[in-house]
Amino acid sequence: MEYNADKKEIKLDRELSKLDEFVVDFCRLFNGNYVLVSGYISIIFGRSRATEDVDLIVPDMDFSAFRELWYVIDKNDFECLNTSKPEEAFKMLKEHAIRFAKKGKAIPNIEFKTIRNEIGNYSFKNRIKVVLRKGLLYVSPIEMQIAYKLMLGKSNNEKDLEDAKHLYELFKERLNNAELNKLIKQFNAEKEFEIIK
Amino acid sequence: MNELYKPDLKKIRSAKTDRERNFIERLEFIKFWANYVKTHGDEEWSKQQNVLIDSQIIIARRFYKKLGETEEGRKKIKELLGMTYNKE
Repeated sequence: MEYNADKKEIKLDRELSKLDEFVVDFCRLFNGNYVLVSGYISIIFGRSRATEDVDLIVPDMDFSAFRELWYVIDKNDFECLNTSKPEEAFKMLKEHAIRFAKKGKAIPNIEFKTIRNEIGNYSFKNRIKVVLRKGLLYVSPIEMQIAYKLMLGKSNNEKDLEDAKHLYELFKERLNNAELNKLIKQFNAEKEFEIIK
Repeated sequence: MNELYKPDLKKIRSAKTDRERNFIERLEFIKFWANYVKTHGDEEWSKQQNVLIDSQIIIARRFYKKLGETEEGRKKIKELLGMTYNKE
């Protein structure tokens, strides 16, 4: 694994899991206009746990752009698990995430959301390119992932603190500490950081 | 595996409850594993990790397939996936 923080790029020569192949296939349909967030970021970088869903966020779009995307997704053998109608899916997207999986399968699936807040904006703007053997992925910056997971860990969610710990231990020599501390302070997660450090 | 897993016993002994001890032990293992990922080739650690990830997907798919064989089961799947609308 080679992390070039200046280029915002990580070269990862890992053997792809079935989950990674699924994510790469789905993300390819977005031409780089997305960012992966949350638990999958720890997993792609080696965290020893599995997951059923992967969180992906995209910039907000109008219905015509969504419908176009819907047909591309459908043509590539994926389907929405919530509804078969793009109009209904678009309506749902205004309120909550919708899920996509390979046709006929429920697992694994993508939890698809549009960017709704500053955390999403930051993650998209500062995303990191992960270059894999087969394809590439855009993921949220590591500092944000650690801080965000620490914030989720405030409600005694041990899994999130463990995800933060994995990323911190793995990248600690290469992190932008000023940025990490700023984000942790923003999320009031100093106490949680002490637990995993 | 050549590396020995040596958890910080002082930290583990400081736990006040079983749950806390269990959590500290997991954090200690995460530190060990993250260090393994850092110090070994991507191919080597990912092969080990994939056994866990791929088997979970296979088992979960088997489970959902079986569950989806009945109307009641299909309803359950929707509940499990947190769906609020019906799929046609």
